[in-house]
Amino acid sequence: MSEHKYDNPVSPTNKFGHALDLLDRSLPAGPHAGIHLDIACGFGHIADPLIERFGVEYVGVDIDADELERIRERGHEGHLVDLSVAGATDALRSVIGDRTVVSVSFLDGLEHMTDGSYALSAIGEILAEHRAVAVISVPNVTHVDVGIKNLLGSWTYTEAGLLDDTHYTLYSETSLRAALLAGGLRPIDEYNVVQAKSDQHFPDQHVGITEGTAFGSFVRSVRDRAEPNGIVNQFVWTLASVPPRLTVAVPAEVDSPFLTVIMRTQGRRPQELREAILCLAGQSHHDFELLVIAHRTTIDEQVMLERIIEEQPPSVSSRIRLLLLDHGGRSVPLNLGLTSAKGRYVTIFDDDDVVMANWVEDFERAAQDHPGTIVRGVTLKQDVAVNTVRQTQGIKSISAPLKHFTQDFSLTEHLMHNQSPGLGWAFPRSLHTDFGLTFDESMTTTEDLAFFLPAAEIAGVTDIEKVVAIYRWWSDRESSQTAHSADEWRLNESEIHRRTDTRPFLLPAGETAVLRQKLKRLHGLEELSEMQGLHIAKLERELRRHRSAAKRKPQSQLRRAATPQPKVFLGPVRRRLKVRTRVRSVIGLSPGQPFLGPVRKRLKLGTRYRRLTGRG
Amino acid sequence: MFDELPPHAPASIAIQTLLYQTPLDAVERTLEALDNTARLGLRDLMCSGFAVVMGDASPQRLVSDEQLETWRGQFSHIDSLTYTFFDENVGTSKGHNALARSYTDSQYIVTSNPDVIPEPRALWRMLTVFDDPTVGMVEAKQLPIEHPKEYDAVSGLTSWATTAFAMTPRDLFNQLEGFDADTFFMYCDDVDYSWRVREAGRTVVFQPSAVVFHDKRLSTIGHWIATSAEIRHSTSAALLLAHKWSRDDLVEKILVDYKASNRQMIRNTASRFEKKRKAGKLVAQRDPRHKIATFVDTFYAKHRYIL
Repeated sequence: MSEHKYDNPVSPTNKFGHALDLLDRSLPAGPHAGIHLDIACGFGHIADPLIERFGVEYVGVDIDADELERIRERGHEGHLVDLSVAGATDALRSVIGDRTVVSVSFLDGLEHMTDGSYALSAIGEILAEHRAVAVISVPNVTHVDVGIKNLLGSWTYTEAGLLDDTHYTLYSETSLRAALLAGGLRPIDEYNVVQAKSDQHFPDQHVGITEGTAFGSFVRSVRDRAEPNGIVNQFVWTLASVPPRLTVAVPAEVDSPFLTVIMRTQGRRPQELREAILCLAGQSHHDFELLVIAHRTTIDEQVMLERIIEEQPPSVSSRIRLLLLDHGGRSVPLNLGLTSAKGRYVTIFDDDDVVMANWVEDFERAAQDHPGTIVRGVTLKQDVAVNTVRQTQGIKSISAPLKHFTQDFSLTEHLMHNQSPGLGWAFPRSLHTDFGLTFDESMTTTEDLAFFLPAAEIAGVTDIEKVVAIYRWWSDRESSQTAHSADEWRLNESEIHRRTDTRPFLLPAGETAVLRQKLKRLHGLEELSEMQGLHIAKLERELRRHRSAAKRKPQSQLRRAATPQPKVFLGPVRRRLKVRTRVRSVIGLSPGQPFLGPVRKRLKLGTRYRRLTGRG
Repeated sequence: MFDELPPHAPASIAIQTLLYQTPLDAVERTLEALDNTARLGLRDLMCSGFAVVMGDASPQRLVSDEQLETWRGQFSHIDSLTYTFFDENVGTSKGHNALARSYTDSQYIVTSNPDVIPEPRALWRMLTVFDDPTVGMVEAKQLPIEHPKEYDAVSGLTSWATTAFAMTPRDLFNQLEGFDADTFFMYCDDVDYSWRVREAGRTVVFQPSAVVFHDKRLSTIGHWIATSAEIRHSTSAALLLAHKWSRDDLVEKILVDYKASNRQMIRNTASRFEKKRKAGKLVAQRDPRHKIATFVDTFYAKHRYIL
């Protein structure tokens, strides 16, 4: 090995080892009569293990003459070919000649090319011509170390590694897949090199990239949910040839409605579904699509759903897509809706609730005024029941629509109780596509709260001060409230709390003031409670003392004590008043005159007289 | 194919609707829903004719001839789409009576608010109720806010029907000489008509499975938000209704309340009524034994809850 930055040995844990293992998984047992084409071969360290494990003939290709010379010195074949220009395929064909290509490797080479498309197309064509496989490795520029430092304004090129100063193009998983597909290549297997601490993990005391800090932990929790490659150092994939296809990134706003409405139905409540769809037909704004998710329906129920949709006016039926789903719990249809949604915002409207005419319009206005936030209106609650009049089933409201959920949003409040039923809010689809939020499929209830909490935490919430929906409370038929036991609801809520408690939690502006006020009140109540506790303890001590004293008294006294005694208050008072009246008359005071001053004066005279006369 | 009983025979329907400065897109949405209703009725052999009869009581004409022609082409399941510009605010009673006279070629009349969206099956479920010959008027349920008046849980019988979307046989409408336009400008004309239907020996039915969407809004604590026009017309109508249906005791009580109101508009209503009464210009009273009319507090039926 030399001191050259790319002169790295083969190891089971690095890109070479992973590439060899991938080939092992793809190729039939050897030896193979043909060549292995090692593109951007560098020092060709993979040559010997390739020959040893697969019995292939090694052919290296690179643009660095010095490195090729080193390969040739070791007795291997090496060719100087520039694959970053037009004609790359023919150049490779001339290297191959009439030999058969068994496999191809292209390890950490793509990112060094000013234009890698020629090389990828050439590999795609060679694979197709020879029915061969390829392995590729590419550094992952979206590693969390790079991402966090970039977020904090730091971008440091290094001699080698993720931000090698000779890299021309940097890749994420998505952009790499797109580049491969354009070249006629598709990944069929992967064995990525995973490193929690990449070569960009410096300095050690950096608060942002350190996993245990509050900031590091929060950012990683968000990053991990958004995309699975946060600690992938290099993508190492097996490739097969496919027809080339250009994927053009289309902004989400183009040709997409404002709102996707996800409506779960089990096809057992046709009248409720009719009413729900009617509410959508009555919307003042029609910039929405409706995904009716038929969940675990029978054929008859499916036919009924299809008929109800077919019966709608064209402006409504054209907005509806019926999706069938035959498995999973309550969250699975929501996730199917999420992945099928085209709207910029998404909301949940189950088949047995009611929304107001301004539902879509107010969501849209609030989203325009506060883009990217969750928009939340006021949801009332109404008791309803099924009612069959003249043999046709209808629905009867049995209470007024009442205020039940809080009007002003508070994330803190939601940590205690769900105040936001699904039909009362809409969320940007970006929370799913960019942040990876999905509905938790392990939840049998409260799946909307499990989604809402992290969603509200990340996006924030804009309140709409209008009634947008009515949550119906069914009194006489099965609903999610009756289909699951109270214990099940509690268990699911506890699970949501547990998950929230295990990571840092971001509060919106203003919530700390709410918390402070509530804590202050709580502390005040605790102090009051403590004082009352002390007072109660004192009273209990006195009570015990009285009880023990009572036990010591003879029975006769106790009986007397137990006998109600006549009131002794008025007698003495009356006596005292009489004394005053008598004194007034003795000393000649009229009833209106002050009493105590003259009396004191007389008493003093009387004392002096008694002293002088010697009378006691 | 039905998942329910269809009406025993196809029938011809005329939907009457009165525009008053109604946005045209709302009218168009209603027409689309009605056209779709007609499509189902024709396909499932429930409909033998479908007309939409529009009257416009706005200060300026809302619908041009070109617009009308466009709609006629667009909504091809509607056999007849007519439009009358009244050139005055005629009110609902007079307006509906005029529309009923302007188009007579249907067995049933449906009164509809211009911005109401019927559920595709609503009208045909209402029609099925008329298989019972004793029925004289059927009302659909409104969403998102259901009217709180009570009805019989099995028969649907109720005290009265709102004309936001209600159906009545044309011959009965003619027999009763339509709405009492001399007494009621708007509000309570439907209560009065319902009670005259019952006075004539027929019944009034609320059918909750027939649903229409009527855009109504509530305050954030669930209270009804009434406009000043609604308050003005409904307070006046309440007095007239109590008088017409021989509830002088209620008239006096209402007058006391109105006179004590802190709103000038309501006090004026009381004085107008009293002037009319003094001049002997009030409508003749009926139902002296109180067999038909139902007054419960300020309502015309028992209500399940207060909005």
